[in-house]
Amino acid sequence: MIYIQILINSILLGGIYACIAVGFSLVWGVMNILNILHGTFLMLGGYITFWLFKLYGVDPFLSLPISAIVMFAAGYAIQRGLINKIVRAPMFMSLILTFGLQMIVVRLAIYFFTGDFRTVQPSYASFSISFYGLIIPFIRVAIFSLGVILTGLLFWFMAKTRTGRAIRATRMDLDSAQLMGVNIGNIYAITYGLGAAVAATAGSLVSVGFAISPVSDLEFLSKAFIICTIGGLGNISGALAGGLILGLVENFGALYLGPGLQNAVGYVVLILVLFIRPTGLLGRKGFE
Amino acid sequence: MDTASPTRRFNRKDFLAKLFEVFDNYGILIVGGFLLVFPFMFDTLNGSIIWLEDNDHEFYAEILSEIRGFVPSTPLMIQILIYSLFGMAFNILLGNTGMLSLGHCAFFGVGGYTVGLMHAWFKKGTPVPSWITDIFVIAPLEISLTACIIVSTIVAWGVGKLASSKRGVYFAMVTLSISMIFYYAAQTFDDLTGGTDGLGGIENMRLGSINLRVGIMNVNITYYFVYIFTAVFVLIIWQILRSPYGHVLRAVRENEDRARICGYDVAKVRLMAFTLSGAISGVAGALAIIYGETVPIENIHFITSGQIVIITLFGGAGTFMGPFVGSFIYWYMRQLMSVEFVKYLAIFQYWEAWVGGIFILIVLFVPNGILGSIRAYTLEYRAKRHLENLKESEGAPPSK
Repeated sequence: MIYIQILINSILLGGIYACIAVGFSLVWGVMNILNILHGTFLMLGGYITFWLFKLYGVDPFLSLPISAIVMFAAGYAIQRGLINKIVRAPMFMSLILTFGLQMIVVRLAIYFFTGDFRTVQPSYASFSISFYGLIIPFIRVAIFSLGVILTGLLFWFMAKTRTGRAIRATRMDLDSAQLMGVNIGNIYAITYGLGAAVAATAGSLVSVGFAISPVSDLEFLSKAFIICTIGGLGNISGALAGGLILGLVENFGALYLGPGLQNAVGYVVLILVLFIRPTGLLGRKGFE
Repeated sequence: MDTASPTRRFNRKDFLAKLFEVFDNYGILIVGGFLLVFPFMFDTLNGSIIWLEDNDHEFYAEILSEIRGFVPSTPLMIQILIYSLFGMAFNILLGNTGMLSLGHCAFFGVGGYTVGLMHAWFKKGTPVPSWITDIFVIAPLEISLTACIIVSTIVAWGVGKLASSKRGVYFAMVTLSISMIFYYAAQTFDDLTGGTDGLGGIENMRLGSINLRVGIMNVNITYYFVYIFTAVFVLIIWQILRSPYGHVLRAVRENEDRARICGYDVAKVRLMAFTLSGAISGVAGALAIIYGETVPIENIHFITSGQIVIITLFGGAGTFMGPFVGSFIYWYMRQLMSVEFVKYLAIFQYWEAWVGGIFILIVLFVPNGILGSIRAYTLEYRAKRHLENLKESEGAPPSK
């Protein structure tokens, strides 16, 4: 029975993990930059939900679009104003740039929000369904389904819309896309903004079921990093698979190795995947 | 050109280029000489403040103490020295072989933990083999340091064996993952490593052979201890990078296929560079705990890796003196902001945010790092000048 319970927990966790990773994977895949700011967007999205709930009593699930829109604007501006200037430079340039931004934003967040761990506690936070001794918390199910829906929305956006096609074209062949009349600077900014928006939404979801603090962003970042390497870069279904795998591995790792080494197991899996299938489990070279 | 021999005329830019070349190649000797007398200078400053206070020159004493706030203190210089060594070891990989490792904190931490654990082991009264006690007197730091070099070499070799077959960002990811596994292991086995509290209780370290006590109580002695170790290893790195072997490293950085066709075993070169870099990083990690007398778990956390990447890029990856310049500026600014500037503006207590702002400025305006940008400028200038000379000699009538 405990195995089934852990399995359910893992799947519920995997949905939110996929949602955390998918924006990171998108940005990495399209622009080839390691976006250290990803965890920060997540954290800020969580804080938007938290403050809206605390100050105005807005339901956390209603504040998802708000945090998405705000963070989309922020991401668009950052990419347009800063990262586009160095996007062709070697990868570690963007690494340092985003790292510098992360340091600034996190210190500002500590200054304004204090370093406490916060969590949103709506009235329905403790509802849960239980049958045959299995406990399924309602809020985790809601987070899971919203995470999966969000990932699906992004998938639809990339596959069907004109902007999505332009993003995929830019990823596959930059020069040809430019020749076909794609405005690269704008597409990069939109991609980055999308990554930030999805991250912020994931952060809003995380702030409901889990806890957030200004310094928890690196933890989210490392999760995103592991997941999108396992699943395959720039690949939305890969992020979903990677999220589920990481959820399973972490929960069973915690069962067998204890909570301390739970996080290390993810990295072991990452190394194994890199050696067995360097493109990631569902990754194909050069294709979205 | 109005003069017949343009090379003989004094030219400011030419002079700067020459100066930079001398600094990058021999600056280690200049800086080393300065650092050798640094504690005397700092002690003189301290002594003169005390003397002025004793002799009722309150005003001058106050001015001097204000100045002292802006002079790096000896403990800060110890930190700068250690991180210069760490950065130079890292630069063997990043600047010379072109491999961005994000996992160097693993070696830094392993070196520190080895010395700390060896010291704890000796302190517990574990019998040391008699042939060692015949040579050394007590608490042999020498043995710990030797063990640290051996252990970090082995660890670096193992990690390198695993990681160095990967290229580019995959290499960075594998090294990062391995270092994170080390971190979680150090956190989990806390009865051995002290966990998140860090490994404490390693005070009273002595150099057994000359019975010299190093640690937080003896700043100057620790400074010279760290100085000598840093100097020895920096000289080793300097010689290696100047030797034909160093040129092979740079050949691998520039064009791997071509190096392979020239007959070099690229995989082996990469592995050896990684091992060398990791082993010296381990020594730096060991030195870092000697002054602090404790091994904080941050030493093995990714933050340390990020710090060293930034220090190296800040000074200029690929230039020899770059990590020293980067380390000096990084730690000095950190100290200034969190100790001096904060007296006037409270916002400076968030020094990390200011450092972050500086990173952004560096990336946007001096992407090659400080020394790297100067080098690029001088190289460009000299190339232009060389072309001008060529053109002139072509245009001039042939001499008899």
